Parts: sequence; C-alpha cells; structure tokens
Amino acid sequence: MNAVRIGIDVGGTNTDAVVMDSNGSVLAWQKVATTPGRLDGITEALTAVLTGVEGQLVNQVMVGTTHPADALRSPQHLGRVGVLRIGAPATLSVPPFTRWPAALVEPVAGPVAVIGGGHEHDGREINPLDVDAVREFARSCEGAVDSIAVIGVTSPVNTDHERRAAAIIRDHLGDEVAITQGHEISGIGLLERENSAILNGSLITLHRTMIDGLFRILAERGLSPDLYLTQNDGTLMSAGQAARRPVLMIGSGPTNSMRGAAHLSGLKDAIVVDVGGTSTDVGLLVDGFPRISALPVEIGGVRTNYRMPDLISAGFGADSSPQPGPANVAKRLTALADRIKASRGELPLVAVGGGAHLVPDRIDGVSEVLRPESVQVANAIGAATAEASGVVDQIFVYDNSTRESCLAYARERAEEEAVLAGADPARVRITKLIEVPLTYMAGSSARVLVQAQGPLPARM
Amino acid sequence: MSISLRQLLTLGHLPGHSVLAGASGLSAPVHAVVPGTTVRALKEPAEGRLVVFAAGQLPLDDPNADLAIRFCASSGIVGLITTPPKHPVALSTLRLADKYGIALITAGSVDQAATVTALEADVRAPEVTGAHRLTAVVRQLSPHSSDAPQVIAVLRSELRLPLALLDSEGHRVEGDESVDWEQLTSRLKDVLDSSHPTERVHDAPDGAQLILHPVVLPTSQRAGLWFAAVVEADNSAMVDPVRHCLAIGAWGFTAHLATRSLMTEVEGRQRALLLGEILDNAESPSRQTVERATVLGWRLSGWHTVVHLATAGGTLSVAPAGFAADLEAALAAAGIVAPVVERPDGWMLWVTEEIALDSADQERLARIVRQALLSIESEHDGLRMCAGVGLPAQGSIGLGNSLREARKASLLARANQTMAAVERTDPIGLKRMLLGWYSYGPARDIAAEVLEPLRAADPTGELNRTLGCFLDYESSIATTAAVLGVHRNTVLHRLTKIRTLLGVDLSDPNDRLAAHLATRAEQLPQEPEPDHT
Repeated sequence: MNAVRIGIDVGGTNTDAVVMDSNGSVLAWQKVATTPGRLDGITEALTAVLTGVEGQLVNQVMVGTTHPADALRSPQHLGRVGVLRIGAPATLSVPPFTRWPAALVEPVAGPVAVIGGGHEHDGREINPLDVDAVREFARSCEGAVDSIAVIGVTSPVNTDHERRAAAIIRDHLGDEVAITQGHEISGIGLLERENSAILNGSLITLHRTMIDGLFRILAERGLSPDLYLTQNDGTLMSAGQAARRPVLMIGSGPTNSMRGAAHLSGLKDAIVVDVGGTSTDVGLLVDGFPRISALPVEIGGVRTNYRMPDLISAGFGADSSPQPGPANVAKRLTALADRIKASRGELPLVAVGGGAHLVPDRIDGVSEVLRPESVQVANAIGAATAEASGVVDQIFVYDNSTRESCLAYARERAEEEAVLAGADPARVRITKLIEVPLTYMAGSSARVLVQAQGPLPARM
Repeated sequence: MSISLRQLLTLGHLPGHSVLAGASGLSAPVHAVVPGTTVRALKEPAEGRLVVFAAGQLPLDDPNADLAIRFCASSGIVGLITTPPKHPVALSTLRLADKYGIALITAGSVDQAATVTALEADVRAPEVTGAHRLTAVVRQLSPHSSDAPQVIAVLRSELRLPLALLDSEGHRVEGDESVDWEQLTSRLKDVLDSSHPTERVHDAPDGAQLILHPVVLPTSQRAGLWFAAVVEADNSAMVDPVRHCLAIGAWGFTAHLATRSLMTEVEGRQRALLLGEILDNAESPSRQTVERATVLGWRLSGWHTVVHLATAGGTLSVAPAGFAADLEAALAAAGIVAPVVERPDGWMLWVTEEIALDSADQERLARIVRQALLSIESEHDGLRMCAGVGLPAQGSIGLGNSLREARKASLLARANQTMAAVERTDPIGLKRMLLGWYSYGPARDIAAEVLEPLRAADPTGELNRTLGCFLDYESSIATTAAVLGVHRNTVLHRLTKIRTLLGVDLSDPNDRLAAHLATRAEQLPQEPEPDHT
C-alpha cells in the first residue's frame, strides 16, 4: 500500500481532516467542531480519520490553521516585542507602532529603539550600523520581551545591517528570545515590513506552542511524518521554517478552500463559494490559484504589504439562524458572483464547505454549479494537495552587476527558499517571475519577485 | 567495498567529535570524503559522500542548515562535518536530520584539508587493508603445511571473525565452536551438497552474512568440505576481503590434500614394489633390497606373522585412493603399528618378533585386526572387509609362507557372512579340510547346482545370503535379522521360501551340513584362487 498524507484545516467553526493517497484520492475525511485550544479538535479529527489507516503509511501531514488571525482578535495571548529600527535619523518622524490599534499596542509594544544605520536603494550604507546602540537596545530588552523585531531601512536590497544587529542581540540574549528580521518576512515598504515583523514576533511563542502540540499529538499516535503548515498563498512551509514565520500563515483558510475546490473540480478558472458555519466567502480561481487582492492588506487593523486572496464575505452560513431560504441565497450569490468576476461572461461556480448544500443549482451569471464529492472538507484537501514554495521579493540594482546574474541569483534564492519550505530539490521549479523596473530611481534597478514551487519529496 | 560512517568515525581522525543528529545515517557506506564549499554546492548528486566544512562555513544554528540537510537528502550525501555552532541547534534542524538520516557531526577544531585527507585515506582503506590481508594469508599458507587447523588458524588470525571448516551436512569439522554452524546452514543443505558448487554469500540473523567457500577435490563434483565465515552487519566492509581470503584458504587446503594424496600413493607404490622384490627373491635378497627394507624399518629376519586383508567382493577398485594409509591409521588406532602394503588382491601387513607368536598372541592380533576393519567399514559406507591371519614363519622366506597361509585364511573369512570377518589359519585342523573342499572345483559346481533354485527365484542373492547367515549364526533368527538389517518376520518368510525351493529340512543334520557347505562355497569367487606356492 502506498504512503498517505493527512490534510487538516482548523477553521473558526470546524476542524476538518482528510486522508489522501499519493494519487490525490480521498480515503477518509472527518469534520469536527473547533475547540478553544485548537489541539483537542485536531486530536479528535485525527483520531477519526486514522481508524483504518496504517500509522506507518502516513508520511506527510499538512495543517492549515487560523490561530494566528484569531490571536490578533484576542490580543491577550500575544507576545511582547522589542522593536529595533535601523534607520536613524531619516525615519524618526514616523516611529514604530504608528497607526496601530491601541488594543494591540498595549500587549505587544516592548522597548523600541531607532538607531543609526540602514542602506540606500542602491545598497550603499546611509550610516554605519550603530553597534553600541544595538547593545544598548539588547540590554533594555533583557527580561522585558518575548521576541524582537529587527528592521533595517531598505533591507530587501542589503540585509547586512539586519543580520549584524540580530547576531549582536542573539549573542546578548541567547536563543530563548526569537528574533524576526524584516527581510525574512516581507518585501519593500519600511512601515509595512516593520509591522509584519512586529506581528510575526508577537505570534511566535503562540505559534511554536501550536507546532509543538501538533508534533506531540502525532507522536502520541506513533506517527513521525513530515509536518507542513499552509501559507497565505496556499503553498506549504515545513514546520521548522513555519515556526519562525507565523505571520505567513495568518490567512491560509480561504486559500485552502479555493485550492481544494480547484483540486476537486479539476477547474482552473471558476468562482468558488465557501459556505462555512457562520459566514460565506466568495473568491475567484485564476489558473488554479486564488486571485490576489490588489489593495494593501490590513491584518488585525495593522497595515502590512501581504498579498492575500481577494475575497468577498457575506454573513450567512450553514448554522445561521434563521436559515436563509434558497431564493434568498440565490439572490445574494448572484450579486456576490457579479462582484467577484473580473469580466463579463459566465464562469462555473464551485460550492465548497460545510454549507455547500445551501447553494442552489441555478444562479444567474453562473454557467453551472458544481458540488464535487468531499467538498465539505475542501480546505483540508487544499492543504493536503499543496506544494511547498519559496518567494524572493527584492530590489536589484543592475548597475552593480548584470541583469542576468541578478535574475539567476533571485531564481536560485527562490528555489532554495522552496527547498527550505520542504520542496523536493530535484523537482522544484520557478512558478512566477515579476520584474518591475524602478524608473523613479537613479540608475537601472528593478523590483524582482520570484516564486519557486515544488512537490514534497516522495520518499519517507 | 566500502566503510560505514560509524566505522570511519571510530578510527580516531576526528577527536572529540559528537553526532548531533541523524544517527541513523551512521550505518550508511561512505564512498568518498570531500571538502565542502557552499550550501548550494550540496545540491549536486553525490551518493555516499561525506562533506567536511571548514570552521564557520556551515553554522548549524543558522536556518541555512535546514537547506543543507534537505539538499543532502536529495543528493545522497550521508553526513556533514563542521565546527560546533555558537548557539544551540534548532530542534527543527535536528528533527530534519533525524528524519532524513543525515549525520550532523561536529568536532572542536576541524582542519578541513587534513581531515579530508585522513578520512579519505580511511575510506579507501578497506581495499588496501583487504589487499594486505590477502597477501598475509598467501604468505602463511604452503601446500606442505596447510592442514585444516593451520588454514583455519591463519585465516582467523588475519580476519578475526568466526571461521570454520564444515562438512557437506553443515557439521563443524574444525574451527570456532562459538557459532552454531548447523543452525546457520540448516536451510542450505541443498547448497552444501550441490553439484559443481561455487562460493556463496547468504544472509544470517541480525543482518550478518554467512560466507561459504567450497573445497572440491579432483574427480569429485561435490564439495566434501566448506570454509565458512560469519561477517557481522556492522562489519559489512569485510565481506569482500573475507571472500577472497577464504578462496585462497580453500585453494591452499585443496593443494595440501592433493599433495598428501599423491605422496601416499607414491609411497604405497614403492612399498608394494619392494615387498614384491623381497617375496620374489626370498632365498637371497639383494643388498639394495635389504637396504631399502631397512630404510623403511622392515626387518627381514625374525618371526613374521602376516595378515592378509581384502574386500569381501575381492576387488580393490571399491576402495578409495589412499586406502592403505587409512588402513594403517585404523590399525594403529586399534593397537598395531605395522606397514600396510597394497597387493594385487588386497593389502598385507605383518608383525615381526624375535620369537614366534603363540596361539593367544595370534588370537589377539586377529581381534585387533577385526576391530580396525570394523572401524574402517563404519567410515566407508557399503564397504565390507575381511582378513586372514597366517601362521608365524621365520626369515624372508617365512614372510612369503605366512602370506600364503594368511591368504587362505582370508578366503575362509570371505565365505563368512559376518561383518569384518577375520579368520586364522588353523595349523592342524578342520579349516584345512574345508579349504581343501572349497578349492576342489567339482565340489563347488555341485554346490552351485544345489543352490540353483534359490538363485533362479531371487537373482539378487538375498535368499542365498539369508540362508548362509542363518546357518552361520547357529540358526538364530534374531541374530540373522540383526546382521542382515531386516525384520525377523522377513527372515522367517525367507526361510520358509528357501525350504520350499530347496526341499531340504534344515533340522536334519545332513541336509544342514550340505546346505551350509553349499552356501559357503557359493560366497567364494567363481575362479579358484591362484596358488602362489
């Protein structure tokens, strides 16, 4: 018998688990209620799907979870973050935590320092790194923070100051305090990058507890599979990497649903309606992936530069009371479908989620309504069928070296990131390459975004 | 041929090293040791390589360590050696290394070039060591002194693992007692007894391997003996050296056996010629003859008592090569040290004393000879032996006379149905009478005629033998059954049949005697013995 993988999606209402074989067929699935601590629900769902499956055959477990997003809604569980911005004196006018909701600032904000250093857009130093100030900052953080965010000006071009500062802090505080460097988390835009790094730092402890809990649950069942978490873009990241970057997992639920819908229906372009317990999300599949929102994304009221699926949410679901009638649902979905479509014409609609049965068979503006088998757990299927990926989003100054060598470097870095995330080094491939020339800057430079993606290793 | 990572580390070129994770990768074979450059370079396929990084080149506390491990898993690299990281290695990194079995080894001060050179030499070492062992084995073995204990001792001192010489049923003939060889070979009976055997490597319990090398002597197609060795699982690099050494050992041992067989043959031939000369010129042996006899320790003066040995069928061809030596050894074991010389119709041995052996001594000699023949019969399946002891006679002429008597006595013995029959020449008596009767042609024709119905009814001669045996053993059905190896009811059945066929009443003394004489004459060869006198 072939190896199997387990996809788990922890939503706000339900926790879904699915067992799939290597051909992508569903062997077993289970839907249980999400529990406050998350792990109990996961345990229950896992136990249910594992009956009749040989534990030794489980070689991969993919988990999509909403707990980082949930944590931002109830901030008392967040960790305190010390913030070191390397960029004085240029950036002093907008200090860290600007425009943050007060409810978040209060639990998250630790010592903040803005120190000398940072780089120009072409990678040259603006000021040398103020090493003494870094030490001073590290001292002020002793015993006062759960983690630290280090953000350098223009670190996507030159990571040197961030790295050096992080090393100094690590030497000072040891390994107990996790350090998030801006360039590891996000692309250009100092404030967005800084916000992301701070959010990441505040979630790290919680996230690690979650991952350790997952490992423990698996170990209790005698399983030692590779563990992956789904990222916002619907691709996977190995648990080891994911533990350092919780913010990348913050909005994976809807993406998983849409990826699952694509897998189950076999469609590349379609409208996906995910009818959950209390809400319904409508999104658009473009070439098998969710269409990405063009607007800056606010997470928990904090402005970041993440690219999230473009979704329209409606306030009805399977557990809504009173239950909306079919005509009502059809009317509302027609409106939603029209809003999400990018152009005129009819598209097929895939209904997924626990309330997929609420979607009527005939909706105006939709060519057909599909309800494939196992749609109730489409999000878990989306997690189980995902590939691992890595992204490089960086500004290259072509004057310093040739454009070809820069692109080759970016490609290689993206591939390495994908391998780090768990992709098979032999089968990793570049799935996206966007090059935006930065005409407003002196010289010839461009923002390059490369995504590499690959299936998980087949063995083990 | 390759060395495992665990073995490589035990050789001590990496003092104070520790294995942080991926211990399951330690049993992997290492084919090469190379210096590491970048993490990226680990992507290239490198099956069975061990990569040594210079100090600080691959910090294991860095996220890039995960990348290195994933690349290793895909490219086939078995382990990484680097300096200890400043900070504790992330649990996820250790987990990853364990998962993929990539050994993460740290050592205090890694001098990259020196370490690579030293380890690489060790990786190549199995081949070099193997060659050294082979040379040592070859040097120590020689065809003149390579009997089983010596070959086993040489192999054991070089290979240092359990070794034995097994027979074709897997029993240990020589070598280590610590291993249950019969158990190991219990499923390999067909292999051990196969025709045209070749070297075999079989799986043994606990991942060990059993290596077998046959010893095949010319004219045989099966291996009478096998060299066997057990190589433990964590020593698998030794399989090839052991195979080669066993092959050399088996070769040396075969040469030794062949040499010994040839020497025995030549010596036997010389002895037979010399004895022929002595017997032919008994009146006045030449000086050379006497000298050569003296060299062999033969005394021509004194009283000789000759024993003539023969196979029950009367032919020598059933006896294996070097049989005279076997006889001599069996007799020595039974208590007579005397030369055994091959003769056209059997073998002859004699004892020489200052005074003639008296009747009791002759009786004792006969007993010892019987004992020796019994042991020979038990060693050679299906071989039946008989012997005659002559009267003592003086001088070189006496040697011939005693031989003549002995040959007559062996003729009587051959007529006997018992195992390892030995007869003595009775100087006065009854046996001479019988001998006269046996030697008389017409009497034997009559005997043949009398027993004709039995032969007609049973061409295999089984009925004849049963009757003879029954009469020899004083009409005891139980003994007859035991000697023939059949059930007593079979004997009873056969006797009834014999009575019916021959029409004789075995309780009648006359009928009995006639039948007994007839069976005795029947057992003798068809042609009367040529008289040597």
